Amino acid sequence: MITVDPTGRLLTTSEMATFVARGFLEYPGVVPADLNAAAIDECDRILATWGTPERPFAPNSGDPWTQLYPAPSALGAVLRRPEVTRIVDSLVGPDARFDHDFVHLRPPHDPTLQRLHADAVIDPNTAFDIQIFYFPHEVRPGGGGTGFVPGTHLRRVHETQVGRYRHVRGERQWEGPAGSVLVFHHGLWHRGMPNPGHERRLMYKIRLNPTRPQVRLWDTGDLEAALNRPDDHIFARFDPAGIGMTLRTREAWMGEQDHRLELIARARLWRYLTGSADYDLDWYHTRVEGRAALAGGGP
Amino acid sequence: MNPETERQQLLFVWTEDSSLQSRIIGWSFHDGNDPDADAAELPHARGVDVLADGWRLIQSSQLVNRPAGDEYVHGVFEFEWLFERVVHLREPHHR
Repeated sequence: MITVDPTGRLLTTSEMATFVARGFLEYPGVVPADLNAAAIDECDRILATWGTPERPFAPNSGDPWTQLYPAPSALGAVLRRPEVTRIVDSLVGPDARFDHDFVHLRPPHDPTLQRLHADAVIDPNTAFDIQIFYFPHEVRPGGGGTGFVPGTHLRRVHETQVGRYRHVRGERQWEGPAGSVLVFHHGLWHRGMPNPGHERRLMYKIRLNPTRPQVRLWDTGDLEAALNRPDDHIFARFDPAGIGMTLRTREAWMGEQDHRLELIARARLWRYLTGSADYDLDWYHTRVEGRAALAGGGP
Repeated sequence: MNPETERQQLLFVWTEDSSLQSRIIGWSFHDGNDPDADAAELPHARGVDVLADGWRLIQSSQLVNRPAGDEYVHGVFEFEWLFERVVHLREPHHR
Protein backbone atom coordinates (compact mmCIF):
# COMPACT_ATOMS: atom_id res chain seq x y z
CA MET A 1 0.00 0.00 0.00
CA ILE A 2 1.45 3.36 -1.00
CA THR A 3 1.48 5.95 1.72
CA VAL A 4 0.88 9.37 0.19
CA ASP A 5 1.07 12.68 1.97
CA PRO A 6 0.00 15.16 -0.72
CA THR A 7 0.76 18.03 1.63
CA GLY A 8 4.34 16.89 1.97
CA ARG A 9 6.96 18.85 0.09
CA LEU A 10 8.63 15.68 -1.12
CA LEU A 11 7.74 12.08 -1.96
CA THR A 12 7.70 9.46 0.77
CA THR A 13 9.98 6.45 0.88
CA SER A 14 6.96 4.29 0.11
CA GLU A 15 6.21 6.27 -3.05
CA MET A 16 9.86 6.08 -4.12
CA ALA A 17 9.93 2.31 -3.65
CA THR A 18 6.71 1.97 -5.63
CA PHE A 19 8.25 4.02 -8.43
CA VAL A 20 11.35 1.81 -8.42
CA ALA A 21 9.27 -1.37 -8.46
CA ARG A 22 6.51 -0.42 -10.89
CA GLY A 23 8.01 2.43 -12.94
CA PHE A 24 5.20 4.92 -12.34
CA LEU A 25 3.14 6.83 -9.78
CA GLU A 26 -0.40 8.11 -10.23
CA TYR A 27 -2.10 11.15 -8.72
CA PRO A 28 -5.74 11.43 -9.81
CA GLY A 29 -7.42 14.83 -9.83
CA VAL A 30 -4.71 16.89 -8.13
CA VAL A 31 -4.98 19.97 -10.38
CA PRO A 32 -8.04 22.21 -9.81
CA ALA A 33 -10.74 22.78 -12.42
CA ASP A 34 -10.03 26.45 -13.20
CA LEU A 35 -6.39 25.70 -13.90
CA ASN A 36 -7.31 22.70 -16.02
CA ALA A 37 -9.54 24.90 -18.19
CA ALA A 38 -6.77 27.42 -18.70
CA ALA A 39 -4.27 24.63 -19.47
CA ILE A 40 -6.60 23.18 -22.12
CA ASP A 41 -6.70 26.59 -23.84
CA GLU A 42 -2.91 26.79 -23.72
CA CYS A 43 -2.51 23.25 -25.06
CA ASP A 44 -4.76 24.20 -27.98
CA ARG A 45 -2.63 27.25 -28.69
CA ILE A 46 0.51 25.13 -28.59
CA LEU A 47 -1.02 22.60 -30.98
CA ALA A 48 -2.07 25.37 -33.37
CA THR A 49 1.41 26.93 -33.41
CA TRP A 50 3.66 23.87 -33.02
CA GLY A 51 6.95 24.31 -34.83
CA THR A 52 6.39 28.01 -35.47
CA PRO A 53 7.87 31.08 -33.76
CA GLU A 54 4.37 31.87 -32.46
CA ARG A 55 4.31 28.87 -30.13
CA PRO A 56 3.81 30.34 -26.63
CA PHE A 57 6.47 29.79 -23.98
CA ALA A 58 8.44 27.32 -26.17
CA PRO A 59 11.39 25.99 -24.13
CA ASN A 60 14.74 24.76 -25.40
CA SER A 61 16.17 21.37 -24.52
CA GLY A 62 18.52 21.88 -21.62
CA ASP A 63 16.62 24.80 -20.08
CA PRO A 64 16.47 24.73 -16.27
CA TRP A 65 13.25 23.10 -15.12
CA THR A 66 12.46 26.01 -12.82
CA GLN A 67 12.41 28.49 -15.71
CA LEU A 68 9.94 26.67 -17.95
CA TYR A 69 6.64 28.22 -18.95
CA PRO A 70 6.92 31.49 -17.00
CA ALA A 71 3.84 33.36 -15.81
CA PRO A 72 1.20 33.85 -17.06
CA SER A 73 1.49 30.36 -18.58
CA ALA A 74 -1.22 27.99 -17.31
CA LEU A 75 0.99 24.97 -17.97
CA GLY A 76 3.70 26.65 -15.91
CA ALA A 77 1.19 27.10 -13.09
CA VAL A 78 0.38 23.37 -13.30
CA LEU A 79 4.04 22.38 -13.28
CA ARG A 80 4.79 24.57 -10.27
CA ARG A 81 1.96 23.22 -8.16
CA PRO A 82 3.31 21.45 -5.06
CA GLU A 83 1.75 18.16 -6.18
CA VAL A 84 4.06 18.28 -9.20
CA THR A 85 7.18 19.87 -7.73
CA ARG A 86 7.32 17.19 -5.01
CA ILE A 87 7.54 14.60 -7.80
CA VAL A 88 10.23 16.46 -9.74
CA ASP A 89 12.30 17.48 -6.72
CA SER A 90 12.29 13.92 -5.33
CA LEU A 91 12.99 11.98 -8.51
CA VAL A 92 15.27 14.20 -10.62
CA GLY A 93 15.99 17.11 -8.29
CA PRO A 94 15.12 20.82 -8.37
CA ASP A 95 17.96 21.48 -10.81
CA ALA A 96 16.57 19.12 -13.44
CA ARG A 97 16.64 20.29 -17.02
CA PHE A 98 14.08 20.25 -19.81
CA ASP A 99 14.34 17.47 -22.37
CA HIS A 100 11.19 17.90 -24.48
CA ASP A 101 7.46 18.10 -24.20
CA PHE A 102 4.44 17.51 -26.40
CA VAL A 103 0.70 17.95 -26.47
CA HIS A 104 -0.94 14.66 -27.43
CA LEU A 105 -4.41 14.92 -28.96
CA ARG A 106 -6.74 11.99 -29.56
CA PRO A 107 -9.75 13.20 -31.53
CA PRO A 108 -13.16 11.59 -30.96
CA HIS A 109 -13.60 8.24 -32.74
CA ASP A 110 -9.87 8.00 -33.45
CA PRO A 111 -9.15 4.30 -34.06
CA THR A 112 -5.37 4.71 -34.06
CA LEU A 113 -3.53 2.26 -31.84
CA GLN A 114 0.08 3.24 -31.33
CA ARG A 115 2.45 0.33 -31.07
CA LEU A 116 3.90 -0.40 -27.67
CA HIS A 117 7.24 1.33 -27.18
CA ALA A 118 9.77 2.77 -24.79
CA ASP A 119 10.59 6.41 -25.52
CA ALA A 120 13.84 7.68 -27.03
CA VAL A 121 16.47 4.96 -27.53
CA ILE A 122 17.86 1.97 -25.67
CA ASP A 123 19.34 3.33 -22.45
CA PRO A 124 21.72 1.33 -20.26
CA ASN A 125 22.06 3.96 -17.52
CA THR A 126 20.98 3.48 -13.92
CA ALA A 127 20.30 7.21 -13.58
CA PHE A 128 16.93 7.93 -15.15
CA ASP A 129 14.72 10.63 -16.60
CA ILE A 130 11.10 11.12 -15.69
CA GLN A 131 8.12 11.80 -17.90
CA ILE A 132 5.12 13.60 -16.44
CA PHE A 133 1.73 13.02 -18.05
CA TYR A 134 -0.94 15.61 -17.28
CA PHE A 135 -4.58 15.00 -18.23
CA PRO A 136 -6.43 18.34 -18.00
CA HIS A 137 -9.87 16.79 -18.44
CA GLU A 138 -11.59 13.60 -17.37
CA VAL A 139 -10.58 10.45 -19.23
CA ARG A 140 -13.39 7.91 -19.21
CA PRO A 141 -12.75 4.15 -19.31
CA GLY A 142 -11.59 3.29 -22.81
CA GLY A 143 -11.62 6.99 -23.73
CA GLY A 144 -8.16 7.16 -25.23
CA GLY A 145 -6.15 7.19 -22.02
CA THR A 146 -2.48 6.25 -22.30
CA GLY A 147 -1.76 2.52 -22.14
CA PHE A 148 1.23 1.34 -20.12
CA VAL A 149 2.69 -1.88 -18.77
CA PRO A 150 3.69 -1.60 -15.10
CA GLY A 151 7.11 -2.99 -14.22
CA THR A 152 8.67 -2.82 -17.70
CA HIS A 153 10.83 0.27 -17.09
CA LEU A 154 14.10 -1.48 -16.24
CA ARG A 155 14.13 -3.81 -19.25
CA ARG A 156 16.65 -2.91 -21.90
CA VAL A 157 14.66 -2.52 -25.12
CA HIS A 158 14.81 -0.14 -28.04
CA GLU A 159 11.73 1.93 -28.87
CA THR A 160 9.13 -0.11 -30.81
CA GLN A 161 11.16 -3.30 -30.51
CA VAL A 162 8.26 -4.34 -28.25
CA GLY A 163 5.62 -3.21 -30.75
CA ARG A 164 4.73 -6.83 -31.50
CA TYR A 165 3.01 -7.14 -28.13
CA ARG A 166 -0.68 -6.31 -28.54
CA HIS A 167 -1.88 -7.61 -25.18
CA VAL A 168 0.19 -8.01 -22.03
CA ARG A 169 -1.36 -9.27 -18.81
CA GLY A 170 -1.57 -6.44 -16.32
CA GLU A 171 -1.40 -3.64 -18.89
CA ARG A 172 -3.18 -0.50 -17.71
CA GLN A 173 -5.06 2.12 -19.65
CA TRP A 174 -5.28 5.45 -17.89
CA GLU A 175 -8.72 6.61 -16.80
CA GLY A 176 -9.38 9.21 -14.19
CA PRO A 177 -10.74 12.62 -13.25
CA ALA A 178 -9.70 15.96 -14.72
CA GLY A 179 -6.38 17.25 -13.45
CA SER A 180 -4.70 13.87 -13.04
CA VAL A 181 -0.94 13.51 -13.12
CA LEU A 182 1.13 10.41 -13.86
CA VAL A 183 4.89 10.15 -13.65
CA PHE A 184 6.81 7.46 -15.55
CA HIS A 185 10.38 6.24 -15.41
CA HIS A 186 11.65 6.96 -18.93
CA GLY A 187 11.86 3.25 -19.73
CA LEU A 188 8.22 2.32 -19.08
CA TRP A 189 6.55 0.66 -22.06
CA HIS A 190 3.49 2.63 -23.14
CA ARG A 191 1.32 3.57 -26.12
CA GLY A 192 -1.38 5.89 -27.33
CA MET A 193 -4.73 4.10 -27.36
CA PRO A 194 -7.77 4.47 -29.63
CA ASN A 195 -10.42 6.94 -28.58
CA PRO A 196 -13.80 5.43 -29.46
CA GLY A 197 -15.62 8.03 -27.36
CA HIS A 198 -17.37 11.21 -28.40
CA GLU A 199 -14.95 13.57 -26.66
CA ARG A 200 -11.44 14.46 -27.66
CA ARG A 201 -8.61 13.53 -25.31
CA LEU A 202 -5.77 15.95 -24.59
CA MET A 203 -2.65 15.05 -22.68
CA TYR A 204 0.47 17.11 -21.98
CA LYS A 205 3.74 15.22 -21.53
CA ILE A 206 7.09 16.61 -20.40
CA ARG A 207 10.43 14.82 -20.04
CA LEU A 208 13.05 16.00 -17.53
CA ASN A 209 16.70 15.00 -17.11
CA PRO A 210 18.52 14.98 -13.77
CA THR A 211 21.75 16.96 -13.53
CA ARG A 212 22.92 15.62 -10.16
CA PRO A 213 23.01 12.12 -8.63
CA GLN A 214 19.46 11.17 -7.66
CA VAL A 215 20.55 10.18 -4.18
CA ARG A 216 18.19 10.66 -1.22
CA LEU A 217 16.34 13.58 -2.80
CA TRP A 218 12.96 12.59 -1.33
CA ASP A 219 11.71 12.89 2.26
CA THR A 220 14.05 10.36 3.83
CA GLY A 221 12.86 10.93 7.37
CA ASP A 222 11.35 7.44 7.44
CA LEU A 223 14.01 5.74 5.34
CA GLU A 224 16.11 4.19 8.06
CA ALA A 225 13.03 2.74 9.76
CA ALA A 226 11.60 1.43 6.48
CA LEU A 227 14.82 0.14 4.96
CA ASN A 228 15.18 -3.60 5.23
CA ARG A 229 18.49 -5.16 6.21
CA PRO A 230 20.70 -6.40 3.37
CA ASP A 231 20.05 -9.95 4.57
CA ASP A 232 16.28 -9.58 4.12
CA HIS A 233 15.58 -12.80 2.24
CA ILE A 234 12.17 -14.12 1.29
CA PHE A 235 13.54 -17.69 1.50
CA ALA A 236 15.12 -17.10 4.93
CA ARG A 237 14.17 -14.28 7.30
CA PHE A 238 12.47 -11.15 6.05
CA ASP A 239 10.60 -8.12 7.36
CA PRO A 240 6.99 -8.31 6.14
CA ALA A 241 6.53 -4.60 6.94
CA GLY A 242 9.78 -3.41 5.35
CA ILE A 243 10.23 -1.50 2.12
CA GLY A 244 11.57 -4.71 0.56
CA MET A 245 8.01 -5.98 0.22
CA THR A 246 7.12 -2.96 -1.93
CA LEU A 247 10.26 -3.43 -3.99
CA ARG A 248 9.27 -7.08 -4.57
CA THR A 249 5.96 -6.12 -6.24
CA ARG A 250 5.21 -8.69 -8.92
CA GLU A 251 3.24 -7.73 -12.01
CA ALA A 252 0.68 -10.00 -13.67
CA TRP A 253 2.96 -10.64 -16.65
CA MET A 254 5.99 -11.65 -14.57
CA GLY A 255 7.01 -15.26 -14.30
CA GLU A 256 9.55 -16.44 -11.75
CA GLN A 257 12.65 -15.93 -13.88
CA ASP A 258 11.52 -12.46 -14.95
CA HIS A 259 10.78 -11.52 -11.35
CA ARG A 260 14.23 -12.57 -10.12
CA LEU A 261 15.96 -10.46 -12.74
CA GLU A 262 13.65 -7.63 -11.74
CA LEU A 263 14.70 -7.91 -8.10
CA ILE A 264 18.34 -7.66 -9.13
CA ALA A 265 17.65 -4.60 -11.26
CA ARG A 266 15.49 -2.94 -8.60
CA ALA A 267 18.06 -3.56 -5.85
CA ARG A 268 20.69 -1.98 -8.09
CA LEU A 269 18.51 1.07 -8.63
CA TRP A 270 17.70 1.28 -4.90
CA ARG A 271 21.43 1.16 -4.13
CA TYR A 272 21.90 4.18 -6.39
CA LEU A 273 18.97 6.13 -4.96
CA THR A 274 19.85 5.47 -1.33
CA GLY A 275 23.64 5.47 -1.62
CA SER A 276 23.63 2.06 0.08
CA ALA A 277 26.24 -0.04 -1.68
CA ASP A 278 25.28 -3.25 0.11
CA TYR A 279 21.50 -3.04 -0.24
CA ASP A 280 19.98 -6.29 -1.46
CA LEU A 281 16.74 -8.13 -2.02
CA ASP A 282 16.69 -11.89 -1.43
CA TRP A 283 20.48 -12.27 -1.35
CA TYR A 284 20.89 -12.20 -5.14
CA HIS A 285 23.66 -9.59 -5.28
CA THR A 286 25.29 -10.59 -1.98
CA ARG A 287 25.57 -14.25 -2.92
CA VAL A 288 27.32 -13.62 -6.23
CA GLU A 289 29.46 -10.68 -5.11
CA GLY A 290 30.70 -12.53 -2.02
CA ARG A 291 31.68 -15.63 -3.93
CA ALA A 292 33.31 -13.75 -6.80
CA ALA A 293 35.87 -12.39 -4.38
CA LEU A 294 36.95 -15.91 -3.43
CA ALA A 295 38.33 -16.60 -6.89
CA GLY A 296 40.02 -13.25 -7.29
CA GLY A 297 37.01 -11.54 -8.79
CA GLY A 298 36.86 -13.86 -11.79
CA PRO A 299 34.23 -16.44 -12.67
CA MET B 1 -3.45 -23.29 -48.26
CA ASN B 2 -5.62 -22.18 -51.17
CA PRO B 3 -5.42 -18.36 -51.38
CA GLU B 4 -8.59 -18.35 -53.45
CA THR B 5 -10.69 -19.78 -50.65
CA GLU B 6 -8.63 -19.64 -47.45
CA ARG B 7 -6.75 -17.27 -45.19
CA GLN B 8 -4.16 -17.69 -42.45
CA GLN B 9 -4.70 -16.68 -38.86
CA LEU B 10 -1.67 -16.16 -36.62
CA LEU B 11 -1.50 -16.15 -32.85
CA PHE B 12 1.71 -14.93 -31.20
CA VAL B 13 1.90 -16.08 -27.61
CA TRP B 14 4.48 -15.27 -24.91
CA THR B 15 4.82 -17.52 -21.89
CA GLU B 16 6.44 -16.95 -18.53
CA ASP B 17 9.08 -19.64 -19.01
CA SER B 18 10.41 -21.81 -21.81
CA SER B 19 7.84 -24.58 -21.40
CA LEU B 20 4.79 -24.63 -23.64
CA GLN B 21 2.94 -25.71 -20.53
CA SER B 22 3.65 -22.44 -18.79
CA ARG B 23 1.29 -19.53 -18.30
CA ILE B 24 0.58 -17.10 -21.15
CA ILE B 25 1.63 -13.52 -20.29
CA GLY B 26 0.89 -11.83 -23.61
CA TRP B 27 -0.55 -12.40 -27.07
CA SER B 28 -1.21 -10.86 -30.48
CA PHE B 29 -3.77 -12.13 -32.97
CA HIS B 30 -3.71 -11.54 -36.73
CA ASP B 31 -6.25 -12.59 -39.35
CA GLY B 32 -5.68 -12.71 -43.10
CA ASN B 33 -9.36 -11.88 -43.46
CA ASP B 34 -9.04 -8.59 -41.59
CA PRO B 35 -5.91 -6.44 -41.18
CA ASP B 36 -7.49 -4.78 -38.12
CA ALA B 37 -8.51 -7.98 -36.36
CA ASP B 38 -7.75 -8.28 -32.66
CA ALA B 39 -8.44 -10.69 -29.83
CA ALA B 40 -8.96 -8.60 -26.71
CA GLU B 41 -9.53 -11.73 -24.67
CA LEU B 42 -7.65 -14.97 -25.02
CA PRO B 43 -9.45 -18.15 -23.92
CA HIS B 44 -6.19 -20.02 -23.33
CA ALA B 45 -4.27 -19.94 -20.05
CA ARG B 46 -1.20 -21.93 -21.16
CA GLY B 47 0.60 -22.54 -24.42
CA VAL B 48 -0.58 -26.14 -24.58
CA ASP B 49 -4.17 -24.91 -24.35
CA VAL B 50 -3.68 -23.20 -27.72
CA LEU B 51 -2.55 -26.51 -29.20
CA ALA B 52 -5.54 -28.26 -27.70
CA ASP B 53 -7.77 -25.69 -29.39
CA GLY B 54 -6.60 -26.86 -32.79
CA TRP B 55 -3.89 -24.35 -33.62
CA ARG B 56 -0.66 -25.52 -35.25
CA LEU B 57 2.68 -24.43 -33.78
CA ILE B 58 4.94 -23.19 -36.56
CA GLN B 59 7.74 -21.44 -34.62
CA SER B 60 9.12 -21.05 -31.13
CA SER B 61 11.93 -18.86 -29.84
CA GLN B 62 15.34 -20.45 -29.45
CA LEU B 63 16.79 -20.94 -25.99
CA VAL B 64 19.91 -18.83 -25.75
CA ASN B 65 22.37 -18.31 -22.94
CA ARG B 66 22.73 -14.79 -21.69
CA PRO B 67 26.02 -13.29 -22.90
CA ALA B 68 28.89 -12.96 -20.46
CA GLY B 69 28.81 -9.58 -18.79
CA ASP B 70 25.11 -9.14 -19.47
CA GLU B 71 23.81 -12.06 -17.45
CA TYR B 72 21.27 -9.94 -15.61
CA VAL B 73 20.04 -7.84 -18.50
CA HIS B 74 16.44 -8.45 -19.51
CA GLY B 75 14.56 -6.90 -22.36
CA VAL B 76 12.00 -8.38 -24.74
CA PHE B 77 9.91 -11.33 -23.67
CA GLU B 78 12.06 -14.40 -24.22
CA PHE B 79 9.60 -17.20 -24.77
CA GLU B 80 7.63 -16.64 -27.93
CA TRP B 81 5.40 -19.14 -29.69
CA LEU B 82 3.80 -18.64 -33.08
CA PHE B 83 0.65 -20.60 -33.94
CA GLU B 84 -1.38 -20.66 -37.11
CA ARG B 85 -4.63 -21.97 -38.37
CA VAL B 86 -6.20 -21.76 -41.78
CA VAL B 87 -9.75 -20.52 -42.05
CA HIS B 88 -12.19 -19.93 -44.87
CA LEU B 89 -11.92 -16.69 -46.80
CA ARG B 90 -14.62 -14.36 -45.52
CA GLU B 91 -16.23 -11.34 -47.09
CA PRO B 92 -15.52 -8.18 -45.11
CA HIS B 93 -19.15 -7.79 -43.96
CA HIS B 94 -19.02 -11.25 -42.41
CA ARG B 95 -16.11 -10.45 -40.10
